[in-house]
Amino acid sequence: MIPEKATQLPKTAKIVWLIHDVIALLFLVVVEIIIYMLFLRGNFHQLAMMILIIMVLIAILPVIHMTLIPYFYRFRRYVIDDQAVYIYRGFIFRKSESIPLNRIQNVDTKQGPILRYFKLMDLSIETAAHGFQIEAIGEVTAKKLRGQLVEAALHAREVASDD
Amino acid sequence: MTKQHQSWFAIVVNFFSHIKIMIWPIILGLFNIKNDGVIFLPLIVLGIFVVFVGSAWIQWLFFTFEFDDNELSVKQGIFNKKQVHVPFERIQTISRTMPFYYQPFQSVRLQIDTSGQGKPEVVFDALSLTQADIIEQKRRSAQNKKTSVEEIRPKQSISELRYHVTNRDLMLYAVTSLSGLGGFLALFTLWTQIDDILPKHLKATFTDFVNHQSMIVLSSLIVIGLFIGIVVGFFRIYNQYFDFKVLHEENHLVISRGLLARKSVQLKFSRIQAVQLRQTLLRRMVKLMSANVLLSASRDEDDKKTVLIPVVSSQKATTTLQKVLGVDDFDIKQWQPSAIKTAAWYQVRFSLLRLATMIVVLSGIVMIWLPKYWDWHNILLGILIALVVVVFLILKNIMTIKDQKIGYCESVIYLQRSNGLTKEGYFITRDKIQGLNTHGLYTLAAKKATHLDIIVRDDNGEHTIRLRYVPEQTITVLNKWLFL
Repeated sequence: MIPEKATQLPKTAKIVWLIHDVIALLFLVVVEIIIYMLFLRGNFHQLAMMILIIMVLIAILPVIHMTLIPYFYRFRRYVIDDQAVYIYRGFIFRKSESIPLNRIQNVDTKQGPILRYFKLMDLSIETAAHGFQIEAIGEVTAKKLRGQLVEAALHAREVASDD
Repeated sequence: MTKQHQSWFAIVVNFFSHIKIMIWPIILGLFNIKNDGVIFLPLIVLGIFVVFVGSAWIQWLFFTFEFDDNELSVKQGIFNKKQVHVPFERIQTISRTMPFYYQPFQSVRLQIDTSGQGKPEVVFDALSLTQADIIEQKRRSAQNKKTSVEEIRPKQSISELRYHVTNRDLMLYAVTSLSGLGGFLALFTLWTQIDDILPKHLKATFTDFVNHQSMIVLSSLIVIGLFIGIVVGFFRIYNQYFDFKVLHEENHLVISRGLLARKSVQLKFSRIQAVQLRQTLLRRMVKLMSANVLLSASRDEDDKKTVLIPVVSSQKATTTLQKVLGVDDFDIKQWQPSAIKTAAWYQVRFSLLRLATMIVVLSGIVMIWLPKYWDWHNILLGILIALVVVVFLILKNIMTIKDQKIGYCESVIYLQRSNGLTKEGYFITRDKIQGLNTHGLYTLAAKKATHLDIIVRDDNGEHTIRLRYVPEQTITVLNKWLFL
């Protein structure tokens, strides 16, 4: 169950996801048009037809993702307290991740052109064993969280001493 | 903190790495220039040279780094900007490479690995020796500061023997390891692989021999093959773990073993991420277990999975482990409900549904594409096989839930899971748990349960211990314990 105090992503995250989906869809449509123009206009090529059908089916994925953006947005939240980072995803397929702050090895920020335009960032957090991401959070929040997480990791009570 | 660039030699390194990537397209392109295009060849080569130099220079320009006493920050990328922050005290390894062509330029290639996940966190193509020395110095001071306040374990100055395998135990281990069966299967696979390259007359002789033997002779041959496999496997294990000893030496465990080739491994206690008790189906029948340790960042390929105790009786497993590791906190007292009451039913139902789907798909394929095999004989045979599989799955899944256990004491958690055949128990200290994930359908949440994954480090990656249908109440208790 997602706790009430969990932080939601900024609303602009929905626009960023939509733009990503539109770009993916446009790319697939362009490739499909190229395949049609090169191999299928005026004649029939079995392999090209099969590839085209597969590409059309793949193109449905960004459309499905687009329609599910409000769902993803509603059920994607995170909590950072003085002991751990908690990430929550999904309602039908529920998933939560808890990572003690003192196991965090490093925190990185990533920002592509679209994220930069909307002043958003992806925050990647890594432990000694695995990594995970909080996607599309506000630039200021991301930097603040990064500082907070690094600080917390440095002042952790139990320091993992892997050699 | 002041921004710094890599050594200018990085431009040269970047330039040659571009050339390396593009060499074949360039060569193919140049060879395909038609006669009238040859006069442009110098221009094309010059163009490529300018583009590559420009690209290498831009790459160098946009790769900056800065550091203070606590962390190193690296910024790279033009459009897709990436910023990496590495706290010095978290650096696992710094690898410094200085190929011969770096030497005149007093530069080194430096890789910094923090997570131990195989790929380095930061790679400097060419740093000046001074820059590399400063980074290493910063790391040393940050990590010395850490160890000075951290008491890892009371020091023992002398070696102390903690475990020595007996001949009887070693034989039991070798007999119950079933590695002979593996050897037989490997031989069989090898035979199928070399079958195609064998001379025709040899293949014909063999086929003729097999075709003219009765079932009894063929069965006897298989039994003999299995026997040879088991004997070979037995001696392989016997040779590998002969005179297996575990010694304590200051903050290390020293494990030595081997008959024909003696091998000794030194493990720092702090590298132990979890202790795994393992019991295969065969060993369950004779109430024996073996104990392994999961280690962080193995430098030696051979010590990735380290056997700590080859074989021990189930009752003595915990006490023997405590003696070997020199700890006394494996006495688990706080046992928690590890699965909801209906878990076994859900587990069986899930497994049978998966089987039913497979049967429907398989039947469909046979009916549509192989209709000649869709007769009563084959249908009856299929039903018979399916019934056996159903019984096996029911038993296997009931055992999976029955074997599941969760308990903890002050600083150690014990998790036990099984796949119905092999049982695995893990002792993990609180500070070695890297994360805790829960997942499941919303219908499971209504039953106040969830699937639980506990993540620990194993070598350079993760090892996930998966538990099914764990009550939410247990998860709350575990979270409280973990964040004590």
